[in-house]
Formats: sequence, C-alpha cells, structure tokens
Amino acid sequence: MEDETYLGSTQYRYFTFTPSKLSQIRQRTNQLATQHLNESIQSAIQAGDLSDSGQDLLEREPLTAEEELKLVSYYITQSVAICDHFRTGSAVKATTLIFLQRIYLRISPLQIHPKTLLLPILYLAFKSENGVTSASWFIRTAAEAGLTITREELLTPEIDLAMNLRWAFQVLHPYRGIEGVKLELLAMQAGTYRGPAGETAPPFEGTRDRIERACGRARILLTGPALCTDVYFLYTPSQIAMAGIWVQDGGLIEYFLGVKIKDEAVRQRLLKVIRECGERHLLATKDAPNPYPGLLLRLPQNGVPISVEIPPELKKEAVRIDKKLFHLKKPLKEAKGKHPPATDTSEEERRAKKRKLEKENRDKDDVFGGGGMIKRKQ
Amino acid sequence: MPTPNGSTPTVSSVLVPAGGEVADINQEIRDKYVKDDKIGEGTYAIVYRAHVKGTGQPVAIKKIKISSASEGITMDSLREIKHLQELRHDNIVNLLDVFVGKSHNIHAVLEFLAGDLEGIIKDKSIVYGTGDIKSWMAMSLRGLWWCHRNFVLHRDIKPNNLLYTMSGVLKIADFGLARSFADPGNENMTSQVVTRWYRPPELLFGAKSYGPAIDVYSLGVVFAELVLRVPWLAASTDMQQLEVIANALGTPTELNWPGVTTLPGYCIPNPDNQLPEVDLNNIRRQFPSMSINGAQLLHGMLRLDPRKRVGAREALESDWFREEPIPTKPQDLPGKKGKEEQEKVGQDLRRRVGHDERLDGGDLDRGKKVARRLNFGL
Amino acid sequence: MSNDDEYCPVCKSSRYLNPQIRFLIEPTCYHKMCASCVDRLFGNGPSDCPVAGCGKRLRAARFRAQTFDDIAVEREVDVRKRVNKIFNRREDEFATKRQWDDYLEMVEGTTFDLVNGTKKEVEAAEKRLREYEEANKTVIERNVQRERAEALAFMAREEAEREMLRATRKAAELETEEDKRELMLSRHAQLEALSNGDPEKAERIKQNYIKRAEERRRKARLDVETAKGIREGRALVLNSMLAKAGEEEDEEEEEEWEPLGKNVSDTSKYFSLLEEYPRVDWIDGFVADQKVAAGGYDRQDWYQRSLFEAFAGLTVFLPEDEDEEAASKSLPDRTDIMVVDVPS
Repeated sequence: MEDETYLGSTQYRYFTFTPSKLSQIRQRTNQLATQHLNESIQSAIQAGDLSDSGQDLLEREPLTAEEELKLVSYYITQSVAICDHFRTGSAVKATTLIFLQRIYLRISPLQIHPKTLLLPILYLAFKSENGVTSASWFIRTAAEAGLTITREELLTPEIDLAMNLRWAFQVLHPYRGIEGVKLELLAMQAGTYRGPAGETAPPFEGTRDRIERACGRARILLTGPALCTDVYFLYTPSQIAMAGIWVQDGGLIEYFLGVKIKDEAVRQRLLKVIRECGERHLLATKDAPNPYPGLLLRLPQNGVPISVEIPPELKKEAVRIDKKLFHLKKPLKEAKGKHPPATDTSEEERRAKKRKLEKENRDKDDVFGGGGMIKRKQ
Repeated sequence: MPTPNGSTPTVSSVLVPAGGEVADINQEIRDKYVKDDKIGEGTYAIVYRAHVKGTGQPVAIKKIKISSASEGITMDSLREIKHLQELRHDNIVNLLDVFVGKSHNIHAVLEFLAGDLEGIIKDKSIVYGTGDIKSWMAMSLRGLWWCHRNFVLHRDIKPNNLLYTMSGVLKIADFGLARSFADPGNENMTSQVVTRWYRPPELLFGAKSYGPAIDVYSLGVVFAELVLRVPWLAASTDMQQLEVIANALGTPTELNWPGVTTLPGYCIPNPDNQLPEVDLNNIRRQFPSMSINGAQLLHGMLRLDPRKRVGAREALESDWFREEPIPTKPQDLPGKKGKEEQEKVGQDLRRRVGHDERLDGGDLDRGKKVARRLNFGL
Repeated sequence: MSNDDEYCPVCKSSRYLNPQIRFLIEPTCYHKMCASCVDRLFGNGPSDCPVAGCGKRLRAARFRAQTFDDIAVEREVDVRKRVNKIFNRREDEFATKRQWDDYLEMVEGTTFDLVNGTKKEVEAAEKRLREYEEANKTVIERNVQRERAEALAFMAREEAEREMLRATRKAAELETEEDKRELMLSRHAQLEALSNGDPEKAERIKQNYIKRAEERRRKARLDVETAKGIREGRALVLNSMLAKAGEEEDEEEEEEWEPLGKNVSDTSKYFSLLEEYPRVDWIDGFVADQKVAAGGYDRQDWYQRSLFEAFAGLTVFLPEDEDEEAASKSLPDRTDIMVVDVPS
C-alpha cells in the first residue's frame, strides 16, 4: 500500500529520473538557454544596439551544462546558510533546497541568476510546509543577514516558481523515514518486534546505543549534505533513508532488510541500489571514482555540516563561472540601455533603470553581489 | 532583473521564456480546455464550466483572483493544489490540471461536480431515505480514510464541501484548509479551523495539537444533519457553540475527557446545568429514527474526548452498513444532476470572504413545499 | 338512486312489488336488470342480453351494482379505469413538459375514442391500447409496483400520525391528572409543615413539587418527540423501499459490504503497527504534555507516519539505463562537481 501511494506522488511522477535522463534534461535546458541568448544578441546586433561588432560576441565560449550545475550547487550551499539564519528547521530547509534543484532543471542561470531566487524559494517553502508566513517578518529577518529584498521582488516570482515546480509542492523527505526504521530496529533489539504477518525477528546483535548513533548520524547527513546531491532525483525517499543509515553502519541495514524482505532476489537488488546510493552520492569523496555518466550533483563529504565548510574548489569555480556569465550577458544590458522596448511606460523605465543601477552597484563590489552573501556570525 | 532580451521583466518572461519547456507545457494545458460559461463567482475565485476540447468531457475551472501580482499565491490555493495533487481517490475531488492564464491568474481544473449535500438536505422536494444516507456516509468516510491514511487533515468537513458527480459519486472537496499532521515538530496548529457548527470541542477549547478525530467529529455532525434535515448544532458564537454541544452531548470534564482542563481555552459551557456525557441510549432518544447500529456509529463519531472517537476506518466496519436497507448505489442516489445545478456548483466551489464569514455556517432555509399528487379511480 | 319508480325492464317488477329488489348492470352493454332476473337468465352460463336490439353475450359474474346515476358516466368511468391501468406513466418520467402533454393527449384521445367513437374508431383505439400494452410491459409493471408501495407508505404514515396523536393526548391527560393529585398532596404537606412551625420544610416541599412537575412536563415532551421520531424513522425506511419499488427489477445478487470499497486494501506489506514501541525520549516528552494528548494528538499517528515514510517506495526500482555504454557516449565528459575541471 505504501508503494502505491508513492507511485501516485508527484515526486515520483515528475521528479524522479534515471541518471541519463537527468543529464539529458540539464543538457537540453542549457542548449535552449544558450540558443535563446544568442538569438537575442543577434537581434540586438541587427537593431544596431551594440557597440562591438556582432560576430565575436557570438563566438564566445558558451556556458556549459557542467558550469551551470556548479554554479547552482554553489548557491545551494549558500541557501543552506540562509536557512540556518532563518532557523527554518529541517522540513523547510530540505524543501527549499529541493525546490531550488528542481527549478534549475529546466531553467538556466543564463535566464535568471540563482541568487535572485534564493529568498523567494525559501519563502515559498515556508508557505508550503508551515502555512502563512508574514512577508514583513521574512523581509526583516533577511535584512538582518544583509540581504535586501523588496516585497515585490519576493512575491512576484512566486507563480512562475510554482509553474516551474509543476505545481507539485509536496516533497517527500527521507529523513522522516529514518524515524520509522529506528522504531523497528529498536523493537527488534528489544525483542518485541512483530512483522505484518506476525513474524518475529532473529536476535539482534548490539546495543540500543548502536542503533541510536547510526540513525542520529544518518539524520544529520540527510538534513544536510545529502540535500546538496542529486539523490532525490535518482532514488526513492525510502531507499535514500536506508542508504543514509547504511553509510553509518552497513550491518544494521543488512540485518534489517534480512528481516523485512523475504524475497531473496528483491532484497539483493535493493541492497545493490542502497549501496550505490550510499557510495556514489552520500559517501562520495574527492578521490572516489564516479562510474556514472552525466551531470550529477555530488559534494565531498567531510562529515562536517555543509554550511560551515564549503569546498574551496567549488567556490573558486563559482567565481569563475559567474564572471563568465556576467560577460556573456553584458552586451544585452548595453542593448537594453540603448533601446528600451516599446512596451515601456515612463514609470517602468525609471524602475528598470533604478534596478539596473542597484545591480551594477552591487556587482561592483563582488561578483556575487553584496560583498559575500551572508555576514558570517562570528 | 534584466533578462536576455532586455525587455522590462514581466514575471513570465523572467522565469519562463517563450519556447521554454515549462511555458510550452503550460500552453498545452491551457489549450486543452474550452470555457463554456461562468457558473459562479466569489471574492476568491470565479468558476467556469468548461469542457475538454477533444472529448467534450465537462470540467470546472476555478480561476483564482489575485488582486495584484504582488500577493503571490494565496494559502488557500497553495494548500488545495498541494494536497489534491497527491491525494487521488474515488471519493476525493479530482484535480485534473493547473495552468496560468493570460492575465497571470492561476486556473485549477477540477472534475465537474453536479451539486452538494447541503443542496440535497435543504431541498425538501428531494426525498431520501436511510439507504441513501448510508451511501453518502460510506463514501465520505472512505474519502476521509484516504486523507488520514496519507496524513492529511481536511479541517473543513461540512455538507457544503461534500459534492457529488453526475453519476452520484460523492467527493470531498475544498482542501483550502488542509494540512499534514502527526509530525510532532509541526504540532503548533491553529484552532480556528472548521466551520463553527461542525467544529469539535477540542478546537473550541483552543487545542494546538490535534489529529484526524476532528474530521470524524465534523462528519458525525453532518450525519446527524442528514437524518434531521436541519442543522443540528447551530450557534452564532464560539461560546454558544460550546453550550449547544454541551447540552446535546454532555459537559466535557476531567471525568469523561482526562486532560481537557489543560486546554488553553477550556471553560465550562453550561455551569448551571452540567450534564454527563451522553450514552448510546441518550443518542437513541435524540435520534429515534435510527437503528441501534446507526445510533452506535453516530455516538462513536461524536465522543467528546477525541481519543475515544472512532476513526474513519473503524467507522466503515460498522454493522450499520451491513444491515437493511443496504447503501444505495451511487447512480440511484437523489440529487439534481441537471443544468440547474450549475448554479450550485459555482456557489460550492467559491470561497466566502474573510475568516469570520467562513466559520459562520450557512443560513437556515425552509425547503419548498410540494403538493401531493392526487389519485382518482383505481 | 333508489327511485321508487324503478322497475326491471325484463320482469317488470318494482320496489313496490319486491322491496328487496336489487338492480345490476353488465359492463358489456350496461343494460340494467334486477338480481333475480340475472340469476334466472344467466345462472346456468352465459346468454344473450334480453333487451331488444342488444343481444350481446353476457355473464352472471360480470354483473355489478351501478355507482353513478348517469349510466353514461358509469360507462366512461369504467373505460377510464381500464385505460389507466395500462397508461400509467408519471410526469417525472418525461424529460420535457411537452412530452408529458403529448402523452396525456394520447391517453385522452384514446379514451375519448373508446367512449364516444364509432365502431371503427373504437377498434382502432383498442388496437392502440393493446400495442402500447405489449410494448411497455416493464414500464407498466414498474409503475404498478410504485403505486402499491405508495399506497402502503401512505397508510403507514397515517397510522403513525394517528399513533402520535394518541400518544400526545394520552400524555397530556395523564399529566394533568397526576399533576392535580400531586399538587393537592403537596399543598397538604406544606400546610402540615407550616402548622408544625417549620417554614423551611414547607418551602422544600414546594420546591420539590415544582421540580417534579418540570420533570413530568419534560418527559411528556420527550415521549411526543419519540413518537414523532418513530414516525420519521418509518418514513425514512419506507422512502427507501419506495425508491426500490420504482426501480426496474435487477438481476443482482446481494453484494457483500466492503468497507473500503472494491479492490482497496489498507494492509501494509512491510510493517504492522505495534501496540507499544520502546521509549523514544523526545516524542514521549511531547505526548506527556497533557494538553497535547487531550487535544487528540496520538503518538501512534506519528509512528504510523514514520513507518509509512520509511517504506514508501522501498522496492520501487527505476528502469535502469538499457545500455550504459551507449548512454555515456551520447553525453559530454562525465562531470563530477567535486572534481574541479581545469578549463582547457
């Protein structure tokens, strides 16, 4: 019955893929966005809005899909920091990060820069998980961390975000499943376990402590670093939960599945999937090989919560990519200045110019805007 | 936020450039339906009857009004979409699609529903019997069971939200107040939910942690109303509501409801005339037209202490469903399934203004009187 | 109708000659004759009508008393009775008013022809009648059932109504009687108490009486309600039966009640919720808070949810890439965020 429910969920129907499919989607998004960008530059050239002669603009190295992914990943880590500042709790944080990942499946940073969406997505996640949240409170709390956003900037993208999310607001999180596994393990350890058909479990070797420790660590993993990987797209939440525990204590899971799944073939297949999830995503270290083709998100696990330590290589890459992005889009900004579209009213023009000015000011300091996203709490 | 083509960013061009996959999907969905005519309007949404282009299958399209783009998505629509996307069941209204219209409004496409139980109860020209009541109760309980099985509380069960299709199948609708439950971390919910006449005592006492028993109570009150054909526990203030409940079901005390005095809003509603909790015999006296099993079911659904109330699953096991007369088949149930009902559908699917009005309950309406057909000869 | 001048056209006897005389008619030709003539002429089997110029074949069994003074009316009523047995449809069976009116017109037309038509018209009308009967056997039968059920329901309603009135009357009677008696006793007792110098006792007795009177009144009201309720209850059940009677006979077996509907199960293949689980501090603490439990929060719901989420989709396996080799070739170099690409 649980499997039926899962198969009916939007998470399974819309946002679960094979690795190659996932990779395909990202490639396509990147292609479309690049195409679109070039077309716009093309028409700007033809309209004579650009100072440079067009050709070399079009021959610049485009942003690759990998670079896009890296940039988004960097902002995912930034988002973790923002969540911590807001004291969101696990549910909202997890939902925010997954929303961010899902949105950037079919949208490219070329179209909209991730940093502009971090706050609106967080706000949407608040709404979806908790209910009404005061926009004023949100804006104030953001300001405390040095992030300014207007009410309009916060709320206007919402409908499009929802559309990008395919109106699927529920995200099933693996960390909740850990509680369930823990319960059963504890019962098995205490000898009080009974299965669905009344069966009992073989005696458990180990203390209660062993279970609590493994599950506790698994929970930290799944409410932190795992959220910055692609596991949600590739595995079911139940499998991810098992993988999270397996990574801490493989024996526990092998014992557990031995009790729960009688069908040998199914159990082996499941173990294989769990091992794969654990090894390739959750445990992945810099030196571990990744036999999987395609664009996958993995971040090195040092066992340290991600908000404190962002892999320095990632940050360097992000800086580089952002600069590249900036330069790719610069001509269009120029064009926009010279040739305001016919639909502009004078009011819109003024507002647009103001925004552009603000952005330029921000960009002057740091490519990321605002002199580093978050003021680190000392 | 500048965009690739430099035009002033209307929201759609920011996140969903024309030709992007998401925009295409949205357009596709929009084109699937043809609007027929408007069947209702409220402050919250306009409801149209429409049909699927290819097949002519009737649907209802709820166009959600937002006063300005800066409102973002309302909580009502977010909740409804979020939960209806995941809850698929014969007795829960089917959300077919969601799309964004030209003027940037959210449109929710729902299956077409002919009318609701409130309409049937109030229209005295519609005659129904025990078998019909059983059928409606069974379908409502099944829908409710599925919600609770998936850990979603409806929080607004009343005759107005129990709609039926052209073939008589009952569906629970209006998930604007729904939310998930059972997560202890999330148990700080508002007690200002459920329309007053159907609101259980624990909510009137301000409980912040509650469970699926609230929906069962509401359905129990609906059950009584189906039998009596007038609202049973009507009151115009929260205090009065507690009095009415106390007089009909008994005064909540530590004796019949341990812990009730710790609820934030606890008080004794009828101090001068405190009554013990009603037992089965008392219910039988209040509803003499019911069989023992029926009265037992009703009693179980209306226990003061939420922990003592039956669950939806248990309710469905009641012998009442097995005894004569058996539940009527949906297609044989009474109800206006013709064109006049479209008015009703509009009314049912729209939302009333503001918080207080929602929780106010409907108004009493004396049904039409119908002359008996005289029969000469024979 | 009892006209002293009436006489039997066959034997010429009248009420004067035979005070017990009874006149009968036969619906074939509606000719009247006295009971003794009927017996004499048709007692041994069917015979021809003695009235000059008639000669129709009559039977003793068909003779009956005349209901209306005007024989034409009698005849017409008989025709209508017969026709309505066949043309027994109801307004709600027709989609539009026009269709209903058309049907009514058809019925009237046929009836008129039967009553007033020429031989040819009568024949045609009879034919129409027979054809309709053949074609609509089921509908006719159904409506017959309906009428029967309705009649039953009506009678039952009347009965219940009568009972209720009876109960009310009785209750009121008893109440006044009892009330009077008690009042007297109470007054007596009060006086006694007062004369014994105990005004408080008198007061108590008075209060007692008032309470008892209240109680009686309340009980009486309740009884009336009960009777009403029983009436309603019967009505509800009857309505169900009415609805059933009006339906076509379906060849269905009794279906067994399935609580969750057809083919829906709620058994988990992975777990079953135990009555008790080992202590888990943070949740135990939460539930221990009285107002949490009193509000209806059930720890079992949380366990259920955790277990549900733990297993949802556990053995759902995504289709694996058919051919990993092929898949990898169509994509760019494998990327791995943690491996920093040195831009080439």
